[in-house]
Amino acid sequence: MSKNKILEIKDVSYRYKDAKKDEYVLKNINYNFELGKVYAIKGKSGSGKTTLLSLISGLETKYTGNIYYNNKDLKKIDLDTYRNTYIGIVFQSYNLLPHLTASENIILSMDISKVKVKNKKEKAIELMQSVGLNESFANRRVLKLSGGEQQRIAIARSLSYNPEIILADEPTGNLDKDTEDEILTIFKDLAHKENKCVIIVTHSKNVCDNADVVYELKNNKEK
Amino acid sequence: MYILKNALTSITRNKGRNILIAIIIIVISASCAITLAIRQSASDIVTAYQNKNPIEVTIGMNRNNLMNSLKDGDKTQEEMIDAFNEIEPITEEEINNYGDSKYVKEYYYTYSLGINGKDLEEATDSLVKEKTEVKTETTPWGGDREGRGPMGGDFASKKTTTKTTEKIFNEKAQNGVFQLIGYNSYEDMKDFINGNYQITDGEVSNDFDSASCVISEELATLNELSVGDKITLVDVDDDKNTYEFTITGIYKENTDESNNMASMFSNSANEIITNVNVIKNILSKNEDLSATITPTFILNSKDDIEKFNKEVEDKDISEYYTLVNNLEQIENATASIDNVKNFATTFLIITLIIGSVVLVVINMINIRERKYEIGVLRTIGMKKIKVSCQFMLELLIVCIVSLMLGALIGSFTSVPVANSLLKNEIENTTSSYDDVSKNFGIDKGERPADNGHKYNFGIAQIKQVDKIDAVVDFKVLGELLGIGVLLTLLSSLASMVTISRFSPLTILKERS
Repeated sequence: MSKNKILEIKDVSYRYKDAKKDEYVLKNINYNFELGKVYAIKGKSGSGKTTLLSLISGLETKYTGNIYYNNKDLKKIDLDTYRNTYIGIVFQSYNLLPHLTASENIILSMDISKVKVKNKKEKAIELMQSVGLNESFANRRVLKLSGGEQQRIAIARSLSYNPEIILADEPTGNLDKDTEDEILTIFKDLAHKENKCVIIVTHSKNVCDNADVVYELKNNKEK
Repeated sequence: MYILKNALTSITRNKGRNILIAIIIIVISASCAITLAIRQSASDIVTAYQNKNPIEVTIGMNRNNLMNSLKDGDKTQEEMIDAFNEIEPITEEEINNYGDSKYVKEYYYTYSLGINGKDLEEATDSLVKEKTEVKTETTPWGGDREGRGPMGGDFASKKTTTKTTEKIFNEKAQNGVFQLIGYNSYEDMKDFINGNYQITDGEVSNDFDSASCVISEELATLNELSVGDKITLVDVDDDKNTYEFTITGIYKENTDESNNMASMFSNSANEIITNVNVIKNILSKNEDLSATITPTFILNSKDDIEKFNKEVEDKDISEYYTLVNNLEQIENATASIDNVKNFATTFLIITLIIGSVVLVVINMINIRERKYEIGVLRTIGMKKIKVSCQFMLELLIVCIVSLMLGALIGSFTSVPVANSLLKNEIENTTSSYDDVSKNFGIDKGERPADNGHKYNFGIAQIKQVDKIDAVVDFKVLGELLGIGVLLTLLSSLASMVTISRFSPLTILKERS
C-alpha cells in the first residue's frame, strides 16, 4: 500500500431514497487517492460524479461500503471537523456568501476551522494572490466579482486552513477556456508543489488531460 | 467569538431585513414596557396601600343573631331592650385572648365612653334638643272660662306645655354628648398615623396615665379653648362626678369633603381623645358607667381572615358578636387600580402571544430566505449548533437594541397612558356610584354605604387611589429584557429545529 494514500473508497454503493431496490447511482466503487496527484472523475450526466464527491466530502452519509480518510472511516469521525479541517471543497457555483467581501469569505472559513493564523486578513490576501487575485479584490463584495474571480476566491477559501484534499465539483464549468487553464494550473501546482490530493469532478476533456489519474463513472463501472 | 463577529456583520449588511424586525420588536416592547410599568406601579401602589391600610378586624354586633333572638316569642320593646342590655360586653381579657393568635400581627383597643361636659358646648347642628309638646286640656267647669258646653253648661280649657323626653333607655347606646376615647399608646392611634386626624396645635401627650386630652378644632373654637386650658367633664348619670382634663393638643379631621355633607361639623367634632387609664379610672369611680371597648386586630394577610374568624369562633365568642374586617374597603379603594392592572395584564398577555407568533413567523421567513447561507456554512464545516447560535445571536442583538428603544418609548408614554386609563376607570366607577346614589336620593359623590359615617364598626374609612406613577424602572427593564430573551429563544427554537433539518447538499442542489 502506498504511503501517500490519503483516501480510500471501498465497495461504496449509493442509491436515492426513492429509487427502486436495485437502481444504484453508484455500485461497488473502489478508488484510491494519493497526495501529490490531480484526479479527474469523469462521466456522463447522471453517472454519479457529484454524488461521489458528496460522499467523499461527507455531505451525504447514507451509503453502503466505506470511505477511509487516513485509514479512518468517515462514518466514525466528526464530519463537520473533517470538512473544516482536512478537505477543501470548490463548487461549480462557487458557493460564496454574498453579504461578505472576498477576504471575509476566506477569513470566515479560517474561523470555522479554528486554524491558528496571526493575521487572518494578511493570510487571506496572501491566498488570494496565490490564486491570481491582487489585494484590491480583498474588500470587494463577491457579487461584484466575475465568475472566474469568484472561483479563485472559492479556491482560496478552500486552501485557507491548508487541507490535504481539495475536492472540486466542475470548477471550470462556468469559465472560459483561458480562465479554465489558469484554474487548472492552480490545482496542478497545489498537487505537485504543495503535495495535496486534488480530486476534480468534470465533464471537461481539458481537465482530464491535465489530471494525473482519471476515473470514469460509466454504467456503475470504473474505467 | 467569530460567531458574534459574523452575526454583527450579517446584521449590518442586511439592514432592510433587520430594520423590519426591529420595528416589529420596538412596537411589541413599547407595548410591553407600558403594560409592565402599569402592572408594576399598580402592584406597588396596592402593596403600599395594603401596608398603610393593613387588614383590620374588629368585633361588632351580630345584628342577625341579635334580632332573631329578640324576635323569639312575643316580647315587648322594653323586654327586647332589656334582653339586649343583658348581653355581656366584650372584655379586655377576651380581646387579649383573641389577640393571642398567630394570624394577628398586632392588636390594640380603644375605650369609648359617653360623657357630658360642664360649661362645655358640644358641636351640633340641632337647635332643638328636647321635644316640646303643647297639650290643650278641656275641663268642664273649671279653670279659665272659655265658652259654654253643648248642654249649656260652662266648660273650661287650659293649655299645658310639657317637655317630654320619652325614650327607651339603652345602656349600650352611647350616651353623653361627648365621646371620650382612650388609647394605650401612639401606635394604637391609627387615625393619627394614617393622617385622618392631624394635630394643628400642641401635641398628643406621651404620658398615657395623665388626665390630658386633645380636642377637635370645632370644639376648641366653639368653647374658645386653646392648648393648656382645662375642661371639666361629668358623668352622664351623675353630674356631681366631675373630671378635669388639660388640653395638650387640638386636632383637625382630614375628611373627604364629600363626606358628611349634611353637617357643618366633622364626625369627630365631639371626640375628646385621651388615654385608656383615665377612662378606666372614671369607670372605677362609677359602677353604673359602661365603656365600649373596640378592639382592632391587624392580621398578617388577607388570607388569614377566615382562619382568624374560625379561631375566634373556637374561642367561644358570643353569638351576638361578629368579626368585621376592612377587606372590602381596601379592595374598593384599590378597585380602579386593580382593574387597570388587570387590563394591563390581559394586554400584556395578548401582546406577548401576538409578539411570539410574529417573531416565530419572521424568524421562519428569515431562515427560509437564508437557506443558501446555511447551506454554505454547513458545507464549509460550521456545526449546526453554531449556525443556530449565530442566527439566534443576530436576533438577540436586534431584539435587545429594539427592546431598549421600545423601553425608551414606553418610559415616555407609560405615565400618561396609565393615568388616562385610571382616570377613565375612576370615571366609570364614580358614574356607577352616582347612578346608585341617585336612586337613594343622595348627593353626587356620596355612596350609600359610607354616607356620613367615618367608622364602620371601628374600622377607619379608606380613600380611593386615584393616581398611578407608571414609570419604566430597572425592574421593568429587567422584566422586559427577560421577556425579550425568552421570546427570542422561543422563536429561535423553531428556526433551530428547521436548521437542524436542513441538508446542506439539498440546499445547494436546489440553489444550483
